[in-house]
Amino acid sequence: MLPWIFLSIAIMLGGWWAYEVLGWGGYWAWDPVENASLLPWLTATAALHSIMVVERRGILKGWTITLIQATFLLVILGTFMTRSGVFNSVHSFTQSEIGPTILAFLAAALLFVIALLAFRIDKLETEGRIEGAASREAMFLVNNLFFVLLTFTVLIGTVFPLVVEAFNGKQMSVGRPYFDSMVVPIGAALLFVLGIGPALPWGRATGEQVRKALLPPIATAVAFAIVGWAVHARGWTLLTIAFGGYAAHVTLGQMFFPMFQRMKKGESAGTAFVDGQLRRGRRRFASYIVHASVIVVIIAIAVSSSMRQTTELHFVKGQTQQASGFDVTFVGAEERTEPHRHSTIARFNVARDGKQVAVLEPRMNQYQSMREPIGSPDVYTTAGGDFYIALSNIDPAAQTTSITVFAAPLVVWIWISVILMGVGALFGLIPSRRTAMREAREPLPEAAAPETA
Amino acid sequence: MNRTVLLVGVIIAAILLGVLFLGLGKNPNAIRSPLIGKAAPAFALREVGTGRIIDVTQLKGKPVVLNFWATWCGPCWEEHPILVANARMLQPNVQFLGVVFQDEESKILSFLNQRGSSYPTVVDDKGKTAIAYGVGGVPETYFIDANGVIAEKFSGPMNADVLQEHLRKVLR
Repeated sequence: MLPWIFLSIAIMLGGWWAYEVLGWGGYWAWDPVENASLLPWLTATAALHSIMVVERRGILKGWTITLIQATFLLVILGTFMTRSGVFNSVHSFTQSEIGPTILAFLAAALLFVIALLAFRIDKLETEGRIEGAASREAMFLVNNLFFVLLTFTVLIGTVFPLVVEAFNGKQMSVGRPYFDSMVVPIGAALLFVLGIGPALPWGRATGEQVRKALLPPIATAVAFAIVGWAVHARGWTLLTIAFGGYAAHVTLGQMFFPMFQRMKKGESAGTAFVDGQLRRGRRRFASYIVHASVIVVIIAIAVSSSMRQTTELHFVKGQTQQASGFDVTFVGAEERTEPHRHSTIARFNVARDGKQVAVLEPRMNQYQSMREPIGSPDVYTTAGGDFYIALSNIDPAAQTTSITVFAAPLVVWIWISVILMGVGALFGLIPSRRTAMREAREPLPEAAAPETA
Repeated sequence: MNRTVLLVGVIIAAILLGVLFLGLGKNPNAIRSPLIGKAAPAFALREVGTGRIIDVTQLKGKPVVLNFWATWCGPCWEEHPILVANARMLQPNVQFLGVVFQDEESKILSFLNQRGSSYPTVVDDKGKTAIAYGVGGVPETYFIDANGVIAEKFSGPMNADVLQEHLRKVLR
């Protein structure tokens, strides 16, 4: 769980850095180095879910072990991807001699894991079975299959250029269209399962139970879809918003379920919250905080990437132009020399409805050791969306500049929600008093008992 | 022992390791310029200092080392003395030519006066020549053979060995 928290936040930080520093207006480009970090996250997330099925039902043991091993292997593969220099990445720190060593280690680890699984997997006893398709454990399994599908999709997309080169010597790269067209549907499906799964009870459920659990959230899904339609979301984005609404309904309902139960029994709201949510139901409460954050992240990603407006503008000093509802005025350009770099900075006043809201200073940096100048954007962030200016060209002598303006809704929610995911998960890690006391009371199993000489 | 697990595992491992192994040692960033083997794009540009027009098509008959650079580029400073020394050694059998883009003539002149020069430098005012050659960043060097065909391209600053090695291909 802890590594998962770190990895989640690290992936987000990487995207945030790319967004704030690099000036291409995006936070994810399906670069091999980015994929390298995502792959183990996917299998780890799948494992965190399937391990709950092991805990509750005593099934999927071998599968869970496989996922955990795969996560470890993918971390090594990720190291190889970033350090070997084999993959074509914008992260061009990849020339080093360490590739073969990591590959040998990866091979050894891979063979060890395969042997371990092949020889030992049958020793794991299955204690139960999946009772029906409409049960929580069945949904966990579906969730796992989607995660694994996603892992293979990303892995194949990342490795495919190497396959092609190995066979016909041609260089190629797999770009956004492949990843987007594959990952968007799987992501939407995962969001769907995230909504349905927690609504269903463990074990066998009656048709009546299933209907009662699954039908009411449809109202919220429709409400979300109407809002989405009103703000011009279409296609997959609209579907994602609707699924998000469904999942939000279920998640919030499940999140506060223990509290409402207690309140029905006559407890005050305060006691019910502290006792039902924070003390006894802590792990449950925490996991739904994570789920709620994930819903926000997925909607924010879908909306910010599909509804982004891009405007290219050319300015002379003093000129004002409109972009995505903002008035942008080019105040001027100045040059600044620092020991390690030479920067040309453009200053823009950004106004909305005649009122100035921000001064943005995107810049072009020429570092001593680099071949090309690097643009640094500047962003005006609000809860509703970001207004982002990146320089494409600037001439301080003539005081003219060309810029690209990105107006992307909801971006800031990605960063906030991933941090919330981490906080939620961390909160769930605090052992509850019940389990701590039970562990203290129960005698240690023989094998784990400390040796007494 | 579970044979299915073993079989599936071995297949996945074999494919993955095989592909990664074949990929070792290749540099994915060295995308060959599509211009290699094609006639060098023609240009006629003004020489820095003299104002004389240099036409690359008139240089046919001997190999040309065409170096794109700029005074604002750190690695170009690094590379400059190597180019100057090699040009002194090899000219007139090989013609060296510098093309400066996105720069000012006064800066170029003071750079050349300070750091020395042994071959002509022309100014690519609007960057059109750099675009025609597909220059991704400076420095970048094109090796054109005596028939006016681009034989090699190198991105980044060259050391003496790299320069010699690439030159060999146009001297044949």
